[in-house]
Amino acid sequence: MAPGERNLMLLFLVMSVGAGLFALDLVLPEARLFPLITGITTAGLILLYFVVSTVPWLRQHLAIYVEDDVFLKISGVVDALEEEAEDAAEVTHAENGLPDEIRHQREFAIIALLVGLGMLALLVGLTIATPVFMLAVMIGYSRRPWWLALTVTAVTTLFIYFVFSVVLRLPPHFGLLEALL
Amino acid sequence: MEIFETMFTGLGELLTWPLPLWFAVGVLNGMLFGLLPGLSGSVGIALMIPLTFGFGAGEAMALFVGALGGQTFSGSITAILLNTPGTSPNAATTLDGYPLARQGRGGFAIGISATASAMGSVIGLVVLLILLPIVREIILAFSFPEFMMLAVMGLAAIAAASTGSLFKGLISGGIGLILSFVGFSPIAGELRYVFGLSPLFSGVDLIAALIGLFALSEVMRLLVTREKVAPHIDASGLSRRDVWEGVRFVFAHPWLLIRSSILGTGVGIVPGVGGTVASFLAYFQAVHSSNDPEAFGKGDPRGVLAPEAANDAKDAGSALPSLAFGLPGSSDWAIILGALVLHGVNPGPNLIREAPEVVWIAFWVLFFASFVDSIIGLFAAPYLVKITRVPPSILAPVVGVLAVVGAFALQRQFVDVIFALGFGVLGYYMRRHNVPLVPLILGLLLGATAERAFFQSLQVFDQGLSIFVTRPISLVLVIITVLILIAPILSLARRRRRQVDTEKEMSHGPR
Repeated sequence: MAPGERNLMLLFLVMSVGAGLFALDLVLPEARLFPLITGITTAGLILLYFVVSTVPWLRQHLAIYVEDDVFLKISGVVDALEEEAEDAAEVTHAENGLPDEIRHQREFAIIALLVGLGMLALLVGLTIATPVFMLAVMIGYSRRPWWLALTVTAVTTLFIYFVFSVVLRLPPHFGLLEALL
Repeated sequence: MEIFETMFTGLGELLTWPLPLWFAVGVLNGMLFGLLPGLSGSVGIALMIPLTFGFGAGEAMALFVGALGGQTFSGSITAILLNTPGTSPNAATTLDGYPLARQGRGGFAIGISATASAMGSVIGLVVLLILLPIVREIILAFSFPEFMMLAVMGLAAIAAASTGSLFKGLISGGIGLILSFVGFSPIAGELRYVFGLSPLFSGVDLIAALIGLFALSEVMRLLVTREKVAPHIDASGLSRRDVWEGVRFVFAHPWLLIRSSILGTGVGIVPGVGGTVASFLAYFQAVHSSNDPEAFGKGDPRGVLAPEAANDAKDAGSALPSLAFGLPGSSDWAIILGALVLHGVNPGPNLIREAPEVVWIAFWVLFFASFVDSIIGLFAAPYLVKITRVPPSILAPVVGVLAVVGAFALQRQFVDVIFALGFGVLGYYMRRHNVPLVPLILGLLLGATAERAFFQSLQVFDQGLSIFVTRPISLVLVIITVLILIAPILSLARRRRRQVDTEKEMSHGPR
């Protein structure tokens, strides 16, 4: 199991166990029962997935449950693809060729940009945060020419203003700044 | 029959202004996002959800299903001309479509693709027309235990059929259910998992989750992979005469068209199975049923006809579980069903009982969309393909910003922006590690319904858990669920037996 997948499954495990444990604190049985069953079952499935993925004997005998694209395999599409259409399979999985180090750097940069967008939107509102985000992505991250980035940002902002403020009549959002205005 | 009476009511509503406008906007959106390699049609549908603020259910259906019907053929244009499928189901079309284009017969291939798509959709809708009344009779016999078991079976089926392993699918569905518990309990009214935060009282917003999972995760993927711009194409091989030759070719091969379309419809009916399976299965049945299989892969026009017919027919097939049972036949339908909640429509078996005209609007939209899409594609393919020259580095921030603003605009709650961003990152990593998104959405969508049906089954029938196995339809659903879960083991055993037989034959040698 790849480290990234393991981390994702651990996150899900924490959520499921948490759902089960917090359900015990609920007062009414009608509110408690369903989350408890779902939390325990999901946590059990995740633990089983960990066990089957790591124990070689189980992995060998229950491979079909942990392998990807079960339906494609049952229907024979995967086998046929491997034999006859390697090019087509490459098209859909192009991103797998990216080295891990570069991918992690890029993922970190984009998550930082998204968090920045969220925080800026909270402070000064989406009306100001979204053009800043677009410029940051196009100029800072993707290294596009500034004039192109400015033009695309201006056109998109005008489009958003037209659709949401003119057509849907929603007022612009200025976040916490709104209280000061 | 009563069900057919509402069929023409649905047509009448679709032809009433402003539904034709939303239909046209939907088809154009579908064509645009179907053409853009790297961005799926699902992104286009998710981005349109906030724009339907104030829409009725019929208008929303015309817009969303128009986009669904519009994307299937347009993805084949780039598959044929650029060897880059617009959507993943169009990958099968590249196998023979691109070699045809390289031989200077791109117009011929596009003519085949457009006609096969439109006719495939019609054949799929005819099958749907036959099945819908039968399914409706079954649905009329549904009560609380059946609603509950339908949700369980749907989750199991979608988990088994989605990309990624069965375990991952089930886990994704479980996480979706857990997220649906946030907020007030539907039966007891007690607050759950809100941790004293008032923005969580109304629960996890489904629309914000859809926008995050389907649009923002794609934006992240585009920015991480930095996909290259499609190469420039020479459109000189797209003469009108070639295109018409392609149209005629489809009508000269009616049996292949019908076979592929029925296969596509059948695959589409299984909840969660995407068009990729439909188009590749149709392609391989065309190869295996041919007298000269060696011609395929080198520019055989039948290799374009079969997957394109199946791909469009699958949309009609996937409409059946989506509209009749509320179980999304594909990721696009998962978004549409989620978005319909916003318009007062409760997806599930009650939809066909309570709002049959909405079901018929979807039917007619699929019918007209496939023709409009194909006709526009036939005439405008050389111009449409230029859209693919837009660099993903420009496209991604535009889509990202539209998604975030859209998530906020629906309820003007900042928590929805946080949900959309959070689900965007989660969706990216789920895709990255082949954990399917559709079971999560289904869990989130059906969580409250399943919980309510579970308690109502226990309270109304007063038989305990045995009620789920003592009613015939509920028992059938239980059996199907068990079969879905053990099918992979049975399939594995069969594969092993076949492998052992082959090895034995090889060790004995030729007699």
